[in-house]
Amino acid sequence: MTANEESQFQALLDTVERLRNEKFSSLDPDLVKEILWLHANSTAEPADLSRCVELAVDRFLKMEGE
Amino acid sequence: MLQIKALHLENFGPFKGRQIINFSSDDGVTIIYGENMRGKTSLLNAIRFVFFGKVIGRSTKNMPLHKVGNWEEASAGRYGFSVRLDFDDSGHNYELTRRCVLKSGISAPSSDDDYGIEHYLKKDGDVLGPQQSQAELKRILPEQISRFFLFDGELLQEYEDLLSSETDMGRKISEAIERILGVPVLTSARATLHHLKEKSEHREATAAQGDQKTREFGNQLADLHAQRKELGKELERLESDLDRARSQKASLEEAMKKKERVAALLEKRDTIEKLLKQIESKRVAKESEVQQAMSSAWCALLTETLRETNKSLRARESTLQTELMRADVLKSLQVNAGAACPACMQDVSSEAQERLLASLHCLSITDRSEKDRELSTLRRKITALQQHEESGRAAVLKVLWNGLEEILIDYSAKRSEREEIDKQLENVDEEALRKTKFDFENIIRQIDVIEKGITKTRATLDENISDTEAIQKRLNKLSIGSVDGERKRRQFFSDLHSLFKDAVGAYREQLRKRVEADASTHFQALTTEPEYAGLQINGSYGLTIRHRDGSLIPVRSAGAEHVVALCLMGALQNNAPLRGPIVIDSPFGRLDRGHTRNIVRALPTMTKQVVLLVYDDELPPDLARSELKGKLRGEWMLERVTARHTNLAALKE
Repeated sequence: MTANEESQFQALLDTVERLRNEKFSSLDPDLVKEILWLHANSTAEPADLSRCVELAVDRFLKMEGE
Repeated sequence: MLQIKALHLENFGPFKGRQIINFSSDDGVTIIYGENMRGKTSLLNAIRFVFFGKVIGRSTKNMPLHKVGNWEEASAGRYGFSVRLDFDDSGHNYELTRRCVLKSGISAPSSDDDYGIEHYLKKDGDVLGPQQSQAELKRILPEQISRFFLFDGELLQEYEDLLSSETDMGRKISEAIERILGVPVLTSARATLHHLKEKSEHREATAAQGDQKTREFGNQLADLHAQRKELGKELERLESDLDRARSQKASLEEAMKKKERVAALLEKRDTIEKLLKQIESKRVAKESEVQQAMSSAWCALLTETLRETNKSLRARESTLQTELMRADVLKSLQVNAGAACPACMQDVSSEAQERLLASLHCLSITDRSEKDRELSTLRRKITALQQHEESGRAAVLKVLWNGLEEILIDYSAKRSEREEIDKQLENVDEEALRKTKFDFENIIRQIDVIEKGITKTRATLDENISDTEAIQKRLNKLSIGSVDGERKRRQFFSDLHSLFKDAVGAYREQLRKRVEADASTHFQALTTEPEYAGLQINGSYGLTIRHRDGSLIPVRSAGAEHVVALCLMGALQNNAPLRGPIVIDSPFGRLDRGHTRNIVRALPTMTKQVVLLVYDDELPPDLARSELKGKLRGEWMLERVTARHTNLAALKE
């Protein structure tokens, strides 16, 4: 990531994180950040991207269940 | 950040043979001077071609590559051309080459099909594979946002469309702005989570179907899910149709704009045609009236003669009347045997009575009846002549003639007007223009139908979602192990989806505020009007000038439009993750010296590398040097060799 890309990612993350705090505090901040990061940096096809996010969420839910 | 180092051209447009422009690696402005038709737009197109394989004409449509190669070389039987761009990006060194070469076996090409395109990208000296090369180029300069880096100053006018939510061009630009500002990261995350939410709902329904207690709910949810899936597909299809129709409408709109003058002439001619038809029917009616009046018009020639005849007839009538009255008086005297005069009742002397009786013999009974007949004939003639005089035919005829003449003058004026328009339309393909108009009206109708379809499908979808939620609520009350896990998972995806959905709106709002603030800062530096305080942004990133008293300036000139568009470019460069050089063709054509000076001074603050393609009068070299000082990194001149051959000459490298 270039410096500009990093600063834009941070701006996007700040927006999502503020809303998460205000309205969806039950959602894990790291998981939300991971989902955002995947969409900001991946050149994968939507189906692959979707699979990655699903895996990340299931991994998180599994960890939470344990 | 993308920084151009050198542009190599071979037989591209007027640039015959191999030619090269080197760009300074220091931040600042490079100016390339060239009179009209020397190849300024070709240089901008060379960069477009090397990145995207496209060359754009003045009409913003793709130009056939067959016509891009150097004409002198082509006439000597050497076809094809190539462009190489050397640049740096994020600390890496790139060499991008694109060539348009004649296919083997073709000796006299006639279309793009006779050529093949080859391109390759070297990164730090290594040639990348096709996929890797595509991915790198997509990252370095995506085509969808190239309009903010490579542009024709004359086309800055189209940014005005951002002020109207109606135009498709405005929508296109607005989408490109969001793309450069990173909104698609959030919208694609929202789309992924929507898909996963749907998938988790399906899994929940399947789990519910597996248990006796929840089977009914599960079945209903599965049905609703299947229906939602179909509705989603239908919505997707309609939205894609709408996109296609809108883009078609935008192209037609653009084509119509260019032919606006011709269209106006055609419309005027149609109106005149209608008027001519109306005047023609009025003329026919009036001519028939005149014809009718003319059938008795000959009488007007006899008016004087008839008046004289009437006069003499009346004189004769009077004589006859006197004679007959005299005869009646005398007869009465005879009957009364000389008593008194029946008129004055005075006594009549015997001598007078004798004289009267003698004269009474002059008018015999035969004479009397003849005179009566003559008088009656005279009176009939007089009445007939009187009737003729009363009719006033000449005056009526004059009014009718005047009316007809007015109609003929009007007809002739309109016909000359139509002939004048016909002359102006002589070389115009009217059929094509009418077809464009017809297609435009047709596409508007199509868009209306599609939009109604979308509204209807969305309403059904909303109903489906509300029904699903109601069943989910009832299902939530039942605690079944296998369903509980899926429910939790579904709720999780639903929350994630809602979070990213809200984030899209919130981020857009922040962006608008940032772009408005930065564009206003640029505007204050560029405008020469001290009463203007800044710019105000709308929902589509359209900018309106704000006066210091708070009011908005609703109308602006083409020059002001350019200034505002440049402010938007500057603001986007400040806020976009992707930055690069700005290459502008004819940026100052519509600007006065004051604005040109301000813009030249401000350009180095907008981005690190600026390339200006200008002609001397648009930006005098002395002005550029005095305003840019040390930020002027290079000056080049497009020198004419022949009409089809231009050489690049460095004034300052």
